[in-house]
Amino acid sequence: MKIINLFKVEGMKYWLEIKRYLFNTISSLLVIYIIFLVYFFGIKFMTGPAMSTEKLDVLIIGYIMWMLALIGFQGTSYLVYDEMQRGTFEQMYMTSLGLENVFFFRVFYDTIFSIVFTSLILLLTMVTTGRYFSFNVFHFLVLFFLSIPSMWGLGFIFGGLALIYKKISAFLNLMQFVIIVFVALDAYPLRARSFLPFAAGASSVQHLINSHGSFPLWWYFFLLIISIFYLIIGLLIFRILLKKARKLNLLGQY
Amino acid sequence: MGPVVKVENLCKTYRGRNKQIKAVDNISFEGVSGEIFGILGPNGSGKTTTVKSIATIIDYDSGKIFVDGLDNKKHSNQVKQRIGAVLEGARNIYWRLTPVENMIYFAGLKGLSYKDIKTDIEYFLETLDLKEVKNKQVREFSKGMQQKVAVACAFISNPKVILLDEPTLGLDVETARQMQVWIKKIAKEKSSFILVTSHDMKFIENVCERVSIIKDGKIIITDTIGNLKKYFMKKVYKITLNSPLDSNQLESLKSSFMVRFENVKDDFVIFITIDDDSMLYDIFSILAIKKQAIKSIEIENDDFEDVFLEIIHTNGEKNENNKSI
Repeated sequence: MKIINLFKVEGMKYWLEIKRYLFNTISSLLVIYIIFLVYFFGIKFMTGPAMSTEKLDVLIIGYIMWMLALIGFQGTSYLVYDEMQRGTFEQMYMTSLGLENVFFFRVFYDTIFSIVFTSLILLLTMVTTGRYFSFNVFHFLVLFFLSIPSMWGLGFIFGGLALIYKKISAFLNLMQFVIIVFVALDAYPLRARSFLPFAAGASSVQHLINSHGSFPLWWYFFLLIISIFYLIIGLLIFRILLKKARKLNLLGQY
Repeated sequence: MGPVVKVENLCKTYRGRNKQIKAVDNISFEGVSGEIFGILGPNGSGKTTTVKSIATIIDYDSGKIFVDGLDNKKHSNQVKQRIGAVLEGARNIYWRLTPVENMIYFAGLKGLSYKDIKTDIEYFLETLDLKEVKNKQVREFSKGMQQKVAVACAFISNPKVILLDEPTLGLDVETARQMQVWIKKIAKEKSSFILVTSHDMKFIENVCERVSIIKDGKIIITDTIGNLKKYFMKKVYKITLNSPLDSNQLESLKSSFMVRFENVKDDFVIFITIDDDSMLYDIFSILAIKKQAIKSIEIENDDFEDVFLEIIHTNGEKNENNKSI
């Protein structure tokens, strides 16, 4: 019951801040809308008939996957950075229900918010441009949720680094490009690069859009195991760095 | 009634590349429910490190801390459940939320629902005069108002232990004085153990029952405010004469007493600090040499700030036999 109360107040706080940082929220959504418009109109305009409809669909879905992976990564890494800047991290740490649970709930709300609003903006873009494409949303979500924990794991590692080194924005920016590589890699069917975080999941989604294909059952387990592996590694490293930060009295300093 | 907080031989050293700083050196104290306990000390004496060690925010090197009988290293989550804190220099609360939303959020961090704290929210809005602004975002508040919300959030989950690290820092005199009243009232009604650190001597004097004075990470003395005043307070005698002392008299007084002189209009005023009234006879015998007429003798007591400075400067080594450390 206690954990449900934590889940509820995290949702309350998330929603209130979305509303109260309205300019930031609206501008973020507007940026996504503009990027979709660029994809729909711009790439077609630049590449002409050379760009097939399927390839454009893959590009758009690739972008969505990248964006959601980034949100998963930032949900944990940027959260530490942000709370330290605000001067509230020590209070957050004082939760009796586990700091990691606070992180998970925030990243959960972040992900749900992003999926809902990205879907709405995608629909709006389709209506605006008059160009529609379809894919199995349920299958997409299954593949996404099986793969995203690996990004949370990476986020925990960078969150831990932020505890110690404080200003790691250069690294966080660099990770945006690294995540593009993970998303763009061809990691389906199974090969060495499939073991990289999120790569197999992103490739599976592209395969789903491209060929409306299905996957053997073991592949879903593989996605889950890879995700859990990176999540556990991330959590372990985060705990080591958190202990170090507590030893050096760095939790409250920015 | 057993102690709700027990700190035993707490040690913490910060190790840098080139130097080590012993922030806390073998500190021990304990406190019971309903008590307001103060930690006083100069900057860098180890107050905040002690507070943060109790709160599990700092991983200390050795010693033991028990909160409500629980070892705070082994049972950190249960200990956090029993602690509320207002930390120095931190914001402590979310500025885009209202006082009520902040209270709901911080109760949620301890697993409590709105239903669990509904009456407490009303209590704190009433007690801390926040009713009129309960739906305004905290960012619109003055520093004093924000600090009130932070105090309410620290108390909202009804913790057994409240840690207030410099709660009056940055507050104007009036708000700081109001804070004394609120904290005493809340402590009485909620019967939590409250640990306060502050530079504000008046605040500590008016709020705390017992204090530990620490210097260079070590506790110099722990006692009630009353006892510390009794053992360390000095009297300042203001003796007004109708003519000045000669150089021999001045030298005699200077060499034997803590003394300063002032000329006030036609009068010559001597301020002498003594801790034993029998010394007055020695003073009078010096004054008797020239038989200056004494116009008046007045006594001025030190305040607690002077007592604190005396303890810090003497390392608490006065009237050793009388102290109940």
